[in-house]
Amino acid sequence: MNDAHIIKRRTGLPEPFDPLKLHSSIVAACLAVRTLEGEAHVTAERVCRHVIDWLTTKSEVTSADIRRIAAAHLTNYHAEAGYMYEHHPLMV
Amino acid sequence: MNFNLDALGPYALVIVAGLFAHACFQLSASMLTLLGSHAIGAGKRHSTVLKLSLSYGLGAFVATLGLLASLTYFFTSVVPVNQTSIAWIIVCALVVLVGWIVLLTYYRRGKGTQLWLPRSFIEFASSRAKKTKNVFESFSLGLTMVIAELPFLIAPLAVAASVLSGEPNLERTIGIFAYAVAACLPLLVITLLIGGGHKISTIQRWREQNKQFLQWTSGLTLILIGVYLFAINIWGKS
Repeated sequence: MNDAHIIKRRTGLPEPFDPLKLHSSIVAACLAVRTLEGEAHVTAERVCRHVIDWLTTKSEVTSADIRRIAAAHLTNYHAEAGYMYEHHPLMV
Repeated sequence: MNFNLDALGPYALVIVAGLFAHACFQLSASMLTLLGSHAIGAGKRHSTVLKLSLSYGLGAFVATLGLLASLTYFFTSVVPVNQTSIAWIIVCALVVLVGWIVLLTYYRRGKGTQLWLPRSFIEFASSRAKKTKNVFESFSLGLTMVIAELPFLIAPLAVAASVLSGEPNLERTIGIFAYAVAACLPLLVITLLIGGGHKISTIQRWREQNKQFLQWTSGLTLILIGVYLFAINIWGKS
């Protein structure tokens, strides 16, 4: 994997998958629902692993796909954080 | 010092109903929730999150106060609403029209609490909320969001301004302040919830579950206010 490219919804241009970016966005979602920082990082790491596994068979995906898969796995570990992660772009 | 708030008479209920419709509009509340979510998610200190939320609310309060005061001046000095029927007809038509538009378009269909605004503006506002670091930025964000929602807020503000324009100076000033404070109560409640340690997801869930209720009640309230004002100011006097 890691040859996978993400098609950004906003620009329509592909860019390489950045696990750190995904990690920090999941940590932010966990912290927003008052999760402890350590737990947030552990959860983010687990979710990132699931997403990376999922990406192994893909060469190109959209950022919305990444969000959907990450939200589904995050919900398994932390329902509230999963809800926040999924609904963050739908708030306004 | 004597206040004669009884002078409001049949209009008191109109202002309260308009205020309710105003408080149901969600752009400012959505952006405050987003601002809180970003600030907490970025690991900012609790006091910083509170300061940002409070200054955001203060920005919204100042914008509401300024807009209502300007409209009241307009209806007092430029187009005296109590002297011309045509001004009442325009206000009533505007309120009914906005009520209909709220019913039809206020929320986008689907999950979440996405509003009618163009997506490009939302992306810009969301990125501003994410980059907000100090109280001045959050103050201006609060101010901007009230102005951005003016196409809807104009209706309850016009109702309050036209009613208050007929009041004596002191009562008018108190009325303008009271309206601005009450209109910003939802923001204060959200700030208190964030300050009290509640999860942003709980607030967002509540907003999502009740969005239809808020949309229908605010839209129908505006339509009823428009019809009521038309009845007492045009039909009642003809």
